[in-house]
Amino acid sequence: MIRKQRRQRILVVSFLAFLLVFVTVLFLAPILWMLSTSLKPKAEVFEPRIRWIPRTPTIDNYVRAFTLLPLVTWMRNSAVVVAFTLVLTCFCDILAAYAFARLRFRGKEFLYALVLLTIMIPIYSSAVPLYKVIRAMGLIDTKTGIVLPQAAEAVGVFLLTQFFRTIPKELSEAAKMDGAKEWTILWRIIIPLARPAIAVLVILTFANTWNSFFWPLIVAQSNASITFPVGMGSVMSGFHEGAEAREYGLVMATSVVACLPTVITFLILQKRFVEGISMSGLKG
Amino acid sequence: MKRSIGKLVGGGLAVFLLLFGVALAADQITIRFWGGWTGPDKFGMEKIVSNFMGENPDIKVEFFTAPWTEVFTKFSTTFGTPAGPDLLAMHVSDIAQFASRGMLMRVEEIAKQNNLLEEDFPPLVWQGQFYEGRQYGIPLDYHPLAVYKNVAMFRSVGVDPGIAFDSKEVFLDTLQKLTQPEKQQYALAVGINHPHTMRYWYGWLFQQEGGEFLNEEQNRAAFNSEQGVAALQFIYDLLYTYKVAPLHESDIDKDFLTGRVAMVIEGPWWVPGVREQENLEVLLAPFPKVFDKPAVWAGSHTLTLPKQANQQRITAAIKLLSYIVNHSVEWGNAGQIPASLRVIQSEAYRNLPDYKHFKVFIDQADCIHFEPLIVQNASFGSDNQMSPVLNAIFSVLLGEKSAEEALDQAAEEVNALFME
Amino acid sequence: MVMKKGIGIRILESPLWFLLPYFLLFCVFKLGPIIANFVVSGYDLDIVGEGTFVGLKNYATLLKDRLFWVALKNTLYYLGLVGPVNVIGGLFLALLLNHHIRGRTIARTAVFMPYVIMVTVVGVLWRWILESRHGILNYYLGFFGIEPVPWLTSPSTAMIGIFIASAWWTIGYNTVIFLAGLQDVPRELVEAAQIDGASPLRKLISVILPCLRPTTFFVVLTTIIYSLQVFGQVYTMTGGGPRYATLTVVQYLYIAGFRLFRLGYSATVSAVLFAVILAMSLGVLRFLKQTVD
Repeated sequence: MIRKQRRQRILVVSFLAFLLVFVTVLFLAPILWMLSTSLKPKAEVFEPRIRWIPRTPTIDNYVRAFTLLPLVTWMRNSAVVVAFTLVLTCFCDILAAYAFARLRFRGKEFLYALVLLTIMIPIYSSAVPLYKVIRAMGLIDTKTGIVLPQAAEAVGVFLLTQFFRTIPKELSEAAKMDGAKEWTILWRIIIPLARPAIAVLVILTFANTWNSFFWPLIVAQSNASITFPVGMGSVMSGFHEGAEAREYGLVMATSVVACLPTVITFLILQKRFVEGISMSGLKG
Repeated sequence: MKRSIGKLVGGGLAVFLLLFGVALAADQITIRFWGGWTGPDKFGMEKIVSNFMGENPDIKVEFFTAPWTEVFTKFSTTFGTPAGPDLLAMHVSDIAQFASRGMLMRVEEIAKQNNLLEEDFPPLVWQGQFYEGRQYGIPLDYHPLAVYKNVAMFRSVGVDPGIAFDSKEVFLDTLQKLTQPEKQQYALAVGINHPHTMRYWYGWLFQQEGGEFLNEEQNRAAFNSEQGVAALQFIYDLLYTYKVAPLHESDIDKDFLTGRVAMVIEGPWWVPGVREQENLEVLLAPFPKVFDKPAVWAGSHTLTLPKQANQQRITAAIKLLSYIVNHSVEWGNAGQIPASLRVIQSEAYRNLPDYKHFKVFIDQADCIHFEPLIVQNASFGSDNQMSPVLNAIFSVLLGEKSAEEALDQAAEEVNALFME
Repeated sequence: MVMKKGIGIRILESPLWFLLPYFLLFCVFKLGPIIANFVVSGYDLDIVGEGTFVGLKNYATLLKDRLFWVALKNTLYYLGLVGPVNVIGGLFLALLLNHHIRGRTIARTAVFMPYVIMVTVVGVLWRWILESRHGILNYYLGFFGIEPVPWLTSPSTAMIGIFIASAWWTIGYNTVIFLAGLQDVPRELVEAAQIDGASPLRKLISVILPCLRPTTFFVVLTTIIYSLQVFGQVYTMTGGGPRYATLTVVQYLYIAGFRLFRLGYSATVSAVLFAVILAMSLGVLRFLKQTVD
C-alpha cells in the first residue's frame, strides 16, 4: 500500500518537475535566442540550419551597434530621465502618502479616491492635451518634458500610503508627546521603517521609466531627448527603407544592451521586484 | 536608499556636464538639419555635412535622420518650438501639406540670391517645388525606378542581359524564361507589403493612353478607370497567371541579393547596396514599358526652410542648403540622382564608378510622374501605410478582391477625403 | 500631555505642504489632461493653430469611420486571444510554481523575466522569431511537417503573432499576482479538504478557487484594461499592417493625432477608448457582484 502511494507520489513529482523544466525552457528560449543571434556574424544569422551556439561567435554586432546607432546618446538620455523621475517621484509620493496616511484634513477620502481612480486611466486618454501642455511649456524634445507627466503617476502614492498605514500609530504619538513636528516624524520614524516599500517604489519606477515608450515617443524628437525604447522603435519602423532594420544580428545586439539594466536589476533584486508587483496589485 | 542617492548624483553630474557643454558651444551657431534617409545614402549626406562644417567652422550642424513618416511627425510636433529643424528635407509630394499650413518659408528670393535657377534643373522637377504658385523648396534630387538585373541568372537561361523591355510581349517572355520554380527561382520580386508595388502600378497606369490618377481639377479619383484596372490586373497576373513572381513576397531586396529572383525594380539609392554585394553582377534598365508610352513613378527630395524668427539660423541654414545642392556629387555617389543639371553634367559626376547605372535613371527624366502635389496626398500616397490605394493593391495581390472592386472602394475613400 | 504648538508651526505642518508637490504634478499632468481630453474632442484641432469648435462632429465622423471600427474589432479580437490565455494560463502557472519542488525559483525567474524587458525589444525579438523564412518558430514547426507560416506578413495570422509575443511578455505579471493570492489561501482549509480525501481537482475547485476570487477579479480586470490599450508591440512588429489587420485603437489614435495631425479627432478616439474601458470594467464589476449573491 505504502509502496503504491510512494510510486504515485514519485510519478506526480516527476511530472511536475518535467512541466517546470518545460515552462522554464519555453520562457527563457526567446531571450537565449536573442543572445545567440547577437553573437553571430551576418552570414550565419541567415543560415537555414538553426544553431543555438554560434559557429563563429563575434562581438562585431555590438561594435557596429555602437558605431552605426547613437546608442550612447539613447542610454544617456534614458539614464537622466530615469534619475530625475526617481528623485521627483520619491519626493512627491513620500510627502503625499504621509499626508494621506497620517494627517487629518477635510476631503481626504475624496482626494485619495480621485488619485486612485487615475491609476486605471491610461495615459492614452490624455495624450493630446498633455502634448499641448508640454508644448506650451516649451518642453517638447526635452528630458524634463518626458519626466514630469511620468512623475504624476498615482501608483507610488497608493503603494506608500498603504504601507504607511500599517505603521503603528503609537510610534507617531509617542514622538508627538516629545514635541516632534510632523516633518521630523516623517523623516526619523516613518521613512526608515518604510524602507522596503520605498525600495519597491524605486525599483518599479526605475523599470517602468526605463521601459516606457508611448509618452517619450511623443515628446522626444531628436538626439537631445530620445530614450532607448524610442530610438530602437524608430530604427525598426523604417523596415523597408532602413538597412539596419533587416540586420537582425545588429538589432539583437542592440536589444541585449537595452535589456541589461532591467534584467540585471531584476536578477539581483528579484524578491523586491516581485513584492512590488504584488503590492501594487493587491488591494490593501 | 543608496540606489536613489547614487542615481541622484549621477543625474546631477549629467546635468552639470550638459550645461558645461552647452556653454562651450556658445560662440558657434548650431542649426538642425533633418532628413529621412536611413539607408547607405545617410552616410553620403553625413559626409557632405561634415565637409560643410569643415569649411564653415562657425556653424555646427546637427544632422538627424529617422524614417520619413517619423521625421514629419517630429517636424509637426516641434514646429514653433526651439526644438524644430532649421533645414528640412522632404519629398515634393510632402510640400503641399506643410506649405498649406504655413509652416514653410517661400524661397523664390533665396533661390535667386544663391544662384539656384530654374534653368539648372529638369523642368518637371522644378515645377514640383511649387504649391499654389509659390515656391517652397529647392530641388536636391529625383529618383525614378529602374530594373536591376542579375546578369548571371540571365546568362544561365540564355537571355541577353541587355534586352530592352519596351513591350508587354518581350517583358513577359523574358519573365517566363527566367522563372524556374523547381529551383525556387523567380523572375521578379513584387512585395505584397511594399510601397514600391503601388509605384509600379502608378507607372503602368500612366503608360496607358488616358491613364490618370486624379481628374484635372485634382479633386476626384480617376484611377478606378479601365486603365487603372488593367495596370493592377497586370501585376496580379504576374503573380497568379504567369507565376513569374513569388507569392507572399515580403522582402524584395533580400530575395534579389540572395538570387531567389532575377530582377527587382528599385530606386537609385539602392546602387551602393548592390555595389557592396560580392559576386553579384548587375545591369540596369529603364522601368519596363508594358503599355502605350513610357512613364515611370518618381519621387524627388527637396530642401525646405521651416518658418522661424531666428534670422541667424535662417542664414546659416541657407548656406548649408546652397552648399549641399552645389556639392551634390557626393550625394550622387551615395546613390541619389542630383537634380542640378550642372552637377550631373560635371566631370566629377561622370567619373563616378557607378555612372553607367545612374545614367539609366537620368535618361528617364522626361517621363517621370510625381504623385499629386496636393495636401491630401499625405493620406493616400504610397508612403502612407494606411493609404486606401496602397491597401487596395495589396488586397488584390493577396487574392482577396478583384482589381475593379478594390480600386472602386479605394476611389470612394479617396473621394471622401476630398469632401472633408 | 500634548505640547501646544504655535500657529506658525501649525501652518508649516499643514497637510497642504505635504500634498502640494504631488498635486501640482497631478493636476497639471494627470487630472487636467484627462478632463481636457473630452473638451478637445469637440474641436477640429491641427498641430498648428488654435482649432475650431465643432461640437459632436468628430463623434459623428467616428461612427462612419471604417478604419476606426476595424481598429476596434482588431482590439477586441486581441483581447479575445490574450485575455483567456493570460488569465487561465497565469493561474495554471501560479499553481505549478506554488509546489515545493526543486528548480521552482529558476522557473519563477524565467516566467517573470520577460516582463522587465522593454516593449521595443519584445517587438523586435518576436519579429525575428516569427520571420517567415528564417524565423526559429517556423523552423521548429517544420519538424512537425508544418509549412512556414507567414506570421506577420499575412493578414490572417498577423494578430496571432502579436498575441503570442504579448502572452510571453505579460503572463508573468498575472502569475505573480495569482501566486501572491495563493499564499493567502488558509492552510487549514486546504488541509481539511486533504483529510476529507479530496482529489487535487476537488481541492482546486472547492477550496482554492473560491479563496482566489478577489485576486481573479483583479487579474481579469487588469488584463482587460491593459489589453485594450495594446500599442508598443503593434508599433514595432507590424505598424498596424498588413492591410490594417493589426491596427488597434491606440495605434489609430496615435496615427490620427501625430501622423495625420488631426489632434481633435485623436482626442475623440481616446475618449471613446476610455468609455469602452470603463464600460467593460463596470461590466466585470457587476458580474462579480452578481456571482457573490
